[in-house]
Amino acid sequence: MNITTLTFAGFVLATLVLFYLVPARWQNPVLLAASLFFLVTWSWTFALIAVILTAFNFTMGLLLARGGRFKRLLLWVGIGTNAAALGSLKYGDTLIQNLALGASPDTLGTTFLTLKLLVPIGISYYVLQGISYLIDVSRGTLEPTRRAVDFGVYMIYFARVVSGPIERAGRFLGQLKRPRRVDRHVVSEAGALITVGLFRKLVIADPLFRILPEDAFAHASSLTGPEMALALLGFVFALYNDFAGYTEMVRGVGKLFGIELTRNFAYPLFSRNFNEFWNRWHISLSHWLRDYVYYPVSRWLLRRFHNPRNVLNLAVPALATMLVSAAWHDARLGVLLWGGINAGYLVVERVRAVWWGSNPPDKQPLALQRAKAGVTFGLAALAGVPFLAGVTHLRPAYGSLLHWGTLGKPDLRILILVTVTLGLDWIQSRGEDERVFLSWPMPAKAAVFALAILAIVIATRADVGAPFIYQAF
Amino acid sequence: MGDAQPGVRLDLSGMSARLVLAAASMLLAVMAALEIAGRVPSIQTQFLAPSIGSADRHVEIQVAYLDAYSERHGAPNCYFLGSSTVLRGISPSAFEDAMRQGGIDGLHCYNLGIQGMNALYAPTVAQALIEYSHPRLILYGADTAHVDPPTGHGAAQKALDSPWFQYYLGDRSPESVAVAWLRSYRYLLMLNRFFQPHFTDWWHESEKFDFKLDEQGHVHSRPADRTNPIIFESRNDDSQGAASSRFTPLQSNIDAIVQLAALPGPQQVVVGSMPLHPSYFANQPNNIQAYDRAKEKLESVTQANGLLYIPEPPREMLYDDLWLNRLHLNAVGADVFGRYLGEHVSRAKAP
Repeated sequence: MNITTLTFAGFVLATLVLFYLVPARWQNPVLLAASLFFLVTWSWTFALIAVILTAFNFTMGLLLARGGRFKRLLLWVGIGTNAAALGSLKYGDTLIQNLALGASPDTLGTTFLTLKLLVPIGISYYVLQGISYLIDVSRGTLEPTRRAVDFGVYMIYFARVVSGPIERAGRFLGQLKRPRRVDRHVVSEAGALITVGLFRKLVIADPLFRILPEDAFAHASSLTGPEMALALLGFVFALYNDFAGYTEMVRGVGKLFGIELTRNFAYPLFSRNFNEFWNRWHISLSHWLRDYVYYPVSRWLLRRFHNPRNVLNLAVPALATMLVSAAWHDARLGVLLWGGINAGYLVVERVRAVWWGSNPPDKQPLALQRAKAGVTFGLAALAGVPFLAGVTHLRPAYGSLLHWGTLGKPDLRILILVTVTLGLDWIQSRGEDERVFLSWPMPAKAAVFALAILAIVIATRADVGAPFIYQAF
Repeated sequence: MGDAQPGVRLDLSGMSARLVLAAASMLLAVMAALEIAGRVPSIQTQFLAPSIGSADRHVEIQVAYLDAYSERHGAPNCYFLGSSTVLRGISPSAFEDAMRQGGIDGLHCYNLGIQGMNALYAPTVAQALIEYSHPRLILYGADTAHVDPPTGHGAAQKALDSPWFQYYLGDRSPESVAVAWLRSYRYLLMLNRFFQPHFTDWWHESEKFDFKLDEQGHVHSRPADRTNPIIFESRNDDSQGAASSRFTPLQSNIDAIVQLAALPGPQQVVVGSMPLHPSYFANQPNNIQAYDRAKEKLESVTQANGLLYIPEPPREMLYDDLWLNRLHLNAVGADVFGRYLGEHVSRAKAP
C-alpha cells in the first residue's frame, strides 16, 4: 500500500475512526494492529520479519535492564543480531539477485530500484531504532518499556515504517505514555504538512524523475556539460523532494494520531557548510549516526590521543560516520565513495575550524552566506555523482560535466521544478516553519491550498503509484 | 499492558471549513474562467488544441476540432471513419453538397479518419461516436487496412485508451467525466503533458498535423501542405507498403466491418472502397489481382449483411493532379471523391 494512494488515505481514515472510537487503553493496540495490517499489505514475510525483530529487541531490552556481568555481551548480541538481519536481508538479497539476473548493481537506475524494493520494507529504519533502544537501555539513559504493544508501535508504526523518520525510543515511547489532545490546530498543522508533502512528492519529485534523461549516468559521455549538470541537479532535487515530501506526509498523519514524529529536513539546500548540511538533511539518520557512531568513536579516540587537534581525532570520527552512513544506504562501491568524499568535506571543515577558527555562519555577511550555500550545494551535488553513477561510470560522468563547449539540449523543465523547490524552501525557511502557510491571511492561505490541490490533481491524474526512493534503502 | 493508558483525545471544537470552502471557491473560479476561455472560438483556433489524455496527439487535435465543430454547428450526424486515406480523401462539405443535391438534406458530416486505423477498431470507434451524437450515417472507408493485421500500438488503439473515448464507451471514472465535460480540465492536462517524457515529440506532432480549424468550426488542410506532404511521406514508401501487405482479406477485419451494421441505433452504415493511385502497385503487379479479389470479397460480404457498398470511382476520375501521394488524395481530390460518394449514397436514398 503506497502512501500516496487513495487506498492509504482510506486506510488512515478507517484507522482514525477506530482509534478514536475505542477506549484509551485500546488505542495503542489499534495502532499496532493497523501497522501490522499495513506491513501485511506489502508482504506477509515482511510483517513476520518485523514481528520477530520487534519481539527480539523487546526481550533484549528487558534482559539488558537486569544488568549483570553479561550485559555487555548481551548488548553486542543485540546489536549484532540487528545488524546481521539488516545485512543479510538487505545486501544478501541484492547480491543474490544481481548474480541471478546478471544485473549491474552499480548504477542508481531502474534495475537498482526494482530489486531493492524486494528488501523487507522499512527494515533499514526499524533496525536502527532497535539498536538505539538497546544502547540507550544498556547505558541506563532509558528505562526499558514493559509494554509490548507500545514497543511494537515504536518499532513498526505504520506512518513511519516505510522510510522513517528514525525515532528515538525515549521520545517516542514517552509520547505514548502521556495524555495527548488532537485539536483543530493540530488537525490544521497535519493538513498543511500532508498537502506540502504531497506537493513535493507528486508535483515536483515524480515529474522530475520522469523527465530526467534515462540512464543519464550510465551513458554520461553522450551528454554535454550543461545537460549533465542539469541532470545531476534534477536528480538531487528529485531525491530531496521525494524524501522530504514523504517525511512531511507521515509527520502530518502522525499528528492526527497525536504522535509527533521527528523532523527530517530543515531546508538543507541553504546550508552554508557541510556540518550544517548534515544537520539539515535526513536529520533523524544524521543524529542517529552522530550519537551512536561519531560521538563514541570520538570519545574512544580522545581517550587515546588526548590532543583534540590530533589529525586522527579530527578525521576518523567523520570518516567512520560517513562510511557507516554510506553502507547503510547501500554496499556499492560508488556509495562508499560518496561517503568518503563527504567525510573529506567534513574533515576539511573541521580542521579549518579547529586550527584556524571560524565565525558561525549566521554572523557572516549575507552575500557570503549565500555564496557559501551555493558552494556547499554544488560540492554536495558533485559528491553525489559516484552515488548515482557508480564507479564504473564515474569518469565519463565527471568528464561530461566538464564539457561546456556545446550547450546540447538542456531540459528547461528541470529548471522550472528546481525553481519551484527553491521557492517553496525559501518561503518555509523565511517563516522558520514548514507550516508557515497557516499563519498567512485567509485569502493567501486559501489560494496556496487551492493551487497545491490543483497542481496535485493535474500532476498525478490517476497515476500516483510511484514508490518513494528512500524505501529502497 | 499493566498500567492504564492515558490515550489521545480528539477535540475538534471551533473547527471551521472556511479554508476549504475558500480554496474550493477559488478553484471553481479558475476552472470557470478556463472553461469559458476554452470555448471562445479565437482561443480554440489560436492556441494549441487541448489534451484529452491520449497518447496520440493527432487524435487529441481531431477530438478538439470535433468539439469545436459541435459547438458551432451542433453535433455531427454523419461520420467518416477509416485510416488516413479517409482523413485526407473525403471532403465532408463536398459530400454534404452532393447529398443535398440528391435530395437528402440536413447532414452535418465530420471526418474522423485516424492515421493507420485498422478495420478491427472501427466498431469501437463508431460505438463511441454513436454515444457522442447519435449519427444518421456512418461511412467507413475501406482501404488496404482491411487486409492488414492491427499493430496494437497504432493511433486508433491510443485513441480508444484515452479518457474521452472511454467516457463515450461507458467509463464514468472521474477523469473520463472531467475530460468529456470540462474544457478547462483538458487545458490543465496539457500542463501534465508538459512534465511527461518526450514532451518535445508531442509538441512536434502538434505542429505536424496539417489540418487547421477555422473560426466557423470547419477543418481544412493547410494550403501549403497540399503540395508538400509531411506526415505520411515516409510511411508511404509505396513499394515497401505493397510488399508488406498480403492482400488477402483477414476474416477478423471483414467481420469487424460487418459488425458496424449491428451497432445499436438507427444509423445507416455505408462502406466505401477508398481509391489507391495505380502506381501504388507499380513494383508489385501481381498484387493488383490479389487486391481486387480482396475488394470483391468485402463487397459481397458487406452486401450480404445489408450494408451499402460503394466501389472505387473509375480511375480517370481521379487523375494524377488530385493525389498527394500514391495513397492519399489531396484537398481537391477529396472534394471530387467526397462528391462521388455523396452522389452514390444519395442515389441509394440512404439514410
